[in-house]
Amino acid sequence: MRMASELAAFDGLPESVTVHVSDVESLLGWADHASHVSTVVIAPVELHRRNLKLRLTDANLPLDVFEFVGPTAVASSVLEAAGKSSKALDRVDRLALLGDILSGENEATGRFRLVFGGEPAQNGDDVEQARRELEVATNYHPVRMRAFRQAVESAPSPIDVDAGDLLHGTLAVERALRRRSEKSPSDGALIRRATRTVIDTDGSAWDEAYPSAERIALVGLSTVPATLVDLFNAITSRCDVEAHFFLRRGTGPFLKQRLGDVWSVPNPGQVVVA
Amino acid sequence: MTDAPSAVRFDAPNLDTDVPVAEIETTTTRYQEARAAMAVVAGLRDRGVPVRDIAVVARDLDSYEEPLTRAAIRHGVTPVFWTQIDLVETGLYRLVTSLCELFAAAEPDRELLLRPLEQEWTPQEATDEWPLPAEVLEETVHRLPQESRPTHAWNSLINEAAWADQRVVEYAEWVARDPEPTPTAVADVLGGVVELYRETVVPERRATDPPALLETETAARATVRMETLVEQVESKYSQRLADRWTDESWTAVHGMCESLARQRPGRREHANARALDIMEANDIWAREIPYVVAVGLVDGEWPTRANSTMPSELQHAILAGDGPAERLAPQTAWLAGRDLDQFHDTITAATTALIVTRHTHDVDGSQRTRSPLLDHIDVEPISRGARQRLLSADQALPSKIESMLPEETPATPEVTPDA
Repeated sequence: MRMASELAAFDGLPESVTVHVSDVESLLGWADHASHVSTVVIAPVELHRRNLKLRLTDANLPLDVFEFVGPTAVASSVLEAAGKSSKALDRVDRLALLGDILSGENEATGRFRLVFGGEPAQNGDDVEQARRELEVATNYHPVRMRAFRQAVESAPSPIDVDAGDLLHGTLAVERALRRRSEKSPSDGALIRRATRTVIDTDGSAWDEAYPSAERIALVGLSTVPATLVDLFNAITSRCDVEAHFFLRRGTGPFLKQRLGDVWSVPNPGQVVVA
Repeated sequence: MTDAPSAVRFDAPNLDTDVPVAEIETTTTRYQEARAAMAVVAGLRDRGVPVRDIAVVARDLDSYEEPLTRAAIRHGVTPVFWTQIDLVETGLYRLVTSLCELFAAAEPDRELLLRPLEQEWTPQEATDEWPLPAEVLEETVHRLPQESRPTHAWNSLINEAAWADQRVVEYAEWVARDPEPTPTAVADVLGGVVELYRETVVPERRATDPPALLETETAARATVRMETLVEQVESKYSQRLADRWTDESWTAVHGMCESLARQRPGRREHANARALDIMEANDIWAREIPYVVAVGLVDGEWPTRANSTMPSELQHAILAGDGPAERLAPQTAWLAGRDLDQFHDTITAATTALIVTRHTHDVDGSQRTRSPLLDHIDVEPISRGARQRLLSADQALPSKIESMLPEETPATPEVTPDA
């Protein structure tokens, strides 16, 4: 298993991964009386956690087996179990730091002046959005970064040039954020560190954080970010844990058919920002 | 826009809904649409449907919060908005920032000095009527000179004025203490202000609020969020001072309040079982509610195109996933996928009936067309006459909606009969 993951010798999803479309009922069906948490449910939207608890209590089902959390809480638990810092910049601090970076004269400001026009320091929100979009698509993984670059290069002219400026500006900003902050500069960066920690500890960081977990589930999203795909990949390849993606009814069929391709990268959590 | 090289689709062309769907088209703006939606809610309530069995859903509450609030008042319904309150628009936020500005100024002028009183500042131990009555404030404005001076000078001036109301004297003394902008003092001053607002201003609102208790609701929500904001300001401010990222000043504190207040973090508001839930479609996922009223089924509103920094050609290459791009995670919001999901979630949430509404014109008069999402489901259109009766003084529930109610709905299901 370990070798396979490192070499990305297979394409598609391993057996331990199940993709559900519009099927919350099977998640609710796991409810049982228990003394340990067996199912870690990651719901990035806070109210979705409440909604699931409501459904369970309305149906008189016990909550015992479930832990409902956000993705950063899971990453923090894993990092803390490995004795590592789990601090990350929040959006307000990141935007302040971005403003600082963008008010200087550097590669990022040069590129973004071409992309957005005007003074980059005035476009902090757009720059942050570009950073987010690139992160969701690639998780800054070298294989996906290469694919992204190829997609940029094969775009028709002059879009290839614009997209290239956007890509290089975004990478420059991401690099500057990492240099300038002692904490993880974003939630995504925190999750990547947790992903690498799971791999580096051969799964023991996860096992310590969630000793009785048998399953991990992701719910309520219309896009599965590469960040979370890689985290799930690391956990299932190093630990005896099933992964379940609960996709939504509209986009689920489309995402289901792509998930295997997005999944198949070697060394999940690896980062190249070059 | 050029045609996409190969079509990316998310969706099965036809959808089966498990429950009947009624569609109300209102011929004017979202204000009338909101009235129709609330008239349906009121009609269902009249038929004995408990308020917790109804929810109103919008893709984006920003544009519907105000129209729905107005319509709710007309129908005597108390709404609970499951969305973050826009803190910047609340009195409590203005009170807190007016204090930051006042303490930041070396020599405030009259306006700056009195603004916190205008925003309903109250003292630690309120013996008299607080917040300061408007006529006392007006008198004070009238009598005081306008020119800037240090707060201790304002204090002596007010202290010596024979006309000054005791409460204004008390306030001037408090201000003249000029708290240093240390993190602890900032947390004490701002935290204290929020607490006193909760103890004094919120109950006072409740006493004068009309039946729907909207202002009370807003004041209470603002208090809850401001408490969190003050905590965040304290920790962020200490951290930034330690990192030498900011200087110690009330201006820095003010800036931090502003950037934190403009964030809209996760939606969490307090639940109220007696009030009507009004939520955004993204939050209805996995819920089951007998009656769902979905507003804003208008093209460009639901669905709407998410804005992106990526050129659309690049978006398309990633969505299509040809060649190496297959490894890239596709973002379905680029093609309104999130809106489609939210529409499905809304349909799935309704366990007895779904009522969808839309408007045909914007406030500026431009035409709005029917959402293409509705093309995928079977709907019962509500006739013009039925809609007019719904919006008239009779508030008659359209018979098509009436027929969606279960046969034997007891008149007051919340009360168990004795026998």
